[in-house]
Amino acid sequence: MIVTDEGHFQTDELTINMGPQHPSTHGVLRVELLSDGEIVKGAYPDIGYLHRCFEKHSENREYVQAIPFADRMDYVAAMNMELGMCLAIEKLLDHEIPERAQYIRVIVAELNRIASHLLAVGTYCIDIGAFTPFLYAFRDREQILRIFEEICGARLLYNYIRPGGVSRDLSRGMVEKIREFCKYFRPLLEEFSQLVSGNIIFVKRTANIGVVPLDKAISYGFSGPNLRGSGYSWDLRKDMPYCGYEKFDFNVCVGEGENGVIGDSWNRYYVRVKEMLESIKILEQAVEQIPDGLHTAKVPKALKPSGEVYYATECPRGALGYYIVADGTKKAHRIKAKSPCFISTSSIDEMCSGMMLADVVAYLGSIDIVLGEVDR
Amino acid sequence: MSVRTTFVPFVVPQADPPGTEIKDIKIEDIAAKLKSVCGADSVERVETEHKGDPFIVLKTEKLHEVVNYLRDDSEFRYIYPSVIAATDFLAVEEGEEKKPGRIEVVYVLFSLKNKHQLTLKVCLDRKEPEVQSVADLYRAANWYERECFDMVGVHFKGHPDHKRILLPEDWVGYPLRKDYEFPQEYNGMKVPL
Repeated sequence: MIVTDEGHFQTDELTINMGPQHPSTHGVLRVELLSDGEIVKGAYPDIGYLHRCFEKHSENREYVQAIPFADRMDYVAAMNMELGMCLAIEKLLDHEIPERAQYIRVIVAELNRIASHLLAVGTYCIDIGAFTPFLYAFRDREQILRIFEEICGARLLYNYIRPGGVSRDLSRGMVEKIREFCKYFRPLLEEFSQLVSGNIIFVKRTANIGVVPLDKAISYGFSGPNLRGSGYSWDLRKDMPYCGYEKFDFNVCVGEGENGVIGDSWNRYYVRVKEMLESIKILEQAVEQIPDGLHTAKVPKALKPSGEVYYATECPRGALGYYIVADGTKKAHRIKAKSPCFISTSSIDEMCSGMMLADVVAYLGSIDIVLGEVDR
Repeated sequence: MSVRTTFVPFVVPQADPPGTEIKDIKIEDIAAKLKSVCGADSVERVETEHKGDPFIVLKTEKLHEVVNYLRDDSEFRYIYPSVIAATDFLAVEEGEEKKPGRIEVVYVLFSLKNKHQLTLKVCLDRKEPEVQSVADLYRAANWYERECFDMVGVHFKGHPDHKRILLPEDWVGYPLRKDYEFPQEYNGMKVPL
């Protein structure tokens, strides 16, 4: 720092590397920060460290064989990844999906949404500097992972939903266990929210930080909790229903700016907390209404769809869409996954410019990116 | 040393309130409207026969004008970019149908007001695939187009930050091209297959 003749401090710009091994980047993301003192002048995200060629792999495999690769995109919400892919393939196939299979799909998707949101808000608290809520969140997430382990044998990467239905029926007593989980989780969610949402330190760190104006959020193609945090009531489960979501009664949660401006980091966090409650509502209705019947339709072993489709579903991190070009053979000509985290990451440059260095972490955590999905 | 700028600070259109019902807009009507507004040669053909989403194939030079019109026109308002993707097709030389090779760039746009999804396409030459960038119309287009360049090798004219995104900058070739050959090594390291 140099003091000039006029008595002003002359500052210098400094480039800082954040990541790729930074605990708050939630994976291997490198952000090149240009800083002037404590002020961020520019933030250039560098991605691709976790690129595992999902699109290239799926072109070289049969459709069913490509589903495990979809699991590994967003590895904390794998059920939702599979569901989107199977629905896109089914759109080209014209198979009637049994009612029970649809209900099972909704149940596992919503359970996974809760697990994913718990991880999102738990790790967000760690980023901000609170350690205890993380333990609470992971304690409850563990219950869901145990349920999944019983349903399909895997805790994280399931390969459970298949074109035509699901790979196996719910085991005996499973419905009862999910009902018990709902009963168990409701008060604990309340407790978690009381612990964190109104906490003055948490509010000071997140409210009015990283405000995404609605117009820009739409131009960026934001979706899911990030778009709803900006105050826009848009949920594909409600607005473009799939998989029988129109049968369930639930609300779309939007940011209302209780502690600051609409569209700030706190709103995005709070939308996730409120959404968990809505997922519980859907789960309770689904376990009451689930009919008997087949868990999968009779589909041929080798699927040979043809046509072109873009199909998006509401995943925990936003609308994840699959663009599939099928040419009537066993392998897809092209599968492109549109990742909501990819565009959230692209917004870092614009949204972080001008904020304080420590707030970059608050913004990064609030858009809730999973690098497996950004890089695919 | 300065950080490279990645976004163009253009004015984004105002958000519409979400529509109440899914409007059934016929893609032929959109194509007819485009022909009358952006010129009769702007639309090459409309495909509705195949399964899945119907799409409009646009003349490559007219793409930017058409997308701009669809975004700003009060009737359509396709302000939400769903995805931009590129697909490579090799030339078909055997059999009855002979088709030249092409690269298709698909633009899936969404109108929140009408709750309607529209698929636009341009067909490019495989040797020199080049199309006008729409990064000055949608913020999201910046990275989508970079990914198309990275994976399929499409050049976007007027893109503010035209370089690879997922692969290293010194990577050779475009992996999602159908005639891509896997490299044996990269910077002296063996590439695992």
